[in-house]
Amino acid sequence: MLELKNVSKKYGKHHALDNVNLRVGRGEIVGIFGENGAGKTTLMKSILTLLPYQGEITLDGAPITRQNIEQLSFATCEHSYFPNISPKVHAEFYEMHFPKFRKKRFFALMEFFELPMKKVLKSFSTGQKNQFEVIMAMCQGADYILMDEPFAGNDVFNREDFYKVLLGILEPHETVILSTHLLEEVEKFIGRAVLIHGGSVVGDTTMEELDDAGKSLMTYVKETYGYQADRVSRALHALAEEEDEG
Amino acid sequence: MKINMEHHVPLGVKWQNQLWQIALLFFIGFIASMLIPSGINHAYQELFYMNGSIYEGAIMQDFASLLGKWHMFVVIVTIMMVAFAVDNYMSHSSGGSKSIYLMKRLPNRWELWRRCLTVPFLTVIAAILFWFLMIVLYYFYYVWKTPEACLAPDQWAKIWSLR
Repeated sequence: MLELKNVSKKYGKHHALDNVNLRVGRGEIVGIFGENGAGKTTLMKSILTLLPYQGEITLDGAPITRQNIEQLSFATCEHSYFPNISPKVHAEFYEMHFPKFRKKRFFALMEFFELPMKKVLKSFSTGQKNQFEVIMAMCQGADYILMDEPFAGNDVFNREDFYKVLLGILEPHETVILSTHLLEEVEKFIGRAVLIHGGSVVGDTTMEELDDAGKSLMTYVKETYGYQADRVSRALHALAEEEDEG
Repeated sequence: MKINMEHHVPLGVKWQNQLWQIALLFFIGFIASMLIPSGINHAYQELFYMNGSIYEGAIMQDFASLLGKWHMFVVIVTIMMVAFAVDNYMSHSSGGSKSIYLMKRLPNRWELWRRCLTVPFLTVIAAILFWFLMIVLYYFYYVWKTPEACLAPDQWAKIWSLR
């Protein structure tokens, strides 16, 4: 169980995270949604201890330290691979540092996505780089796989492939926490949706609950954020009136 | 025992390039150190009249003063190696990827620092040894070259006394 208790993070006077409380159990696939700057990335980086924060984050009851950090992996749109070395050398490095590195899964995924094993990462296309980033996160041998906008720049077919592979390959104890803007795409893939706004959790629901209520994820998000559907038409109408008066 | 240098520099950084830069630094240091024996020769010549006889009561210039700015070699190498270490660290955030995220979440907390600091640290140690070795070498040259009557006492001690 990954648990966040009263987690806050400030950048100067700006609250990037404001008293966040969240529990994610093993085997869950959780989508984290929110507008740009909502705090999704800060939340993930805090969990990974890449950022200092106030509050408490625990993994199976223990604070996250070097002793248990291997249980967390991270795929980010900023990328975290080494651009000047090949996937093969990456695999060797991961094997050296992560005893649970899933070599078999690594080779299977590399083959499935037809990624070259001996070319340096900087020569890959953006889509290939994203694929590789996610592959490494999935193969580290972590129980909690954190993904921050991992498919930014990938085409729709590629993303579709990835969702299917993810669903097919994940073991029951593996947890995915996925931050993305692609609500409709991940709707069928996730089991739970967490909404963040202004650094706070403003919504937390399971897909089962949404199904029971007959709502789509998009509707739930719009309702939670108080999105006004007629906002655009009102603005255009006001603009048209102004022009008429002029 | 074979040392794999690739394990002691940031992943993807060519250690051969680093080694060449360090070798160049030491070569420049060696060339600069040649000013010391040149100074010894000059000081030696000043002990003599034109006809080759020694001035009465002539004393050879102190070895410590002939070292000139040689101490700066270690200072310069240290500054360069601090820059090297910073560059090693920054290399984890270049090339369109932030491998620093991976390095910072490795179970082995020292891996990042080992890869950033090993080469700079060993270079500073090597620079200190090289600096000392040159002092010893030129000191023996100084003692060998200086006529016994012109050699002031406590030459070795004067090197280490605060000036």
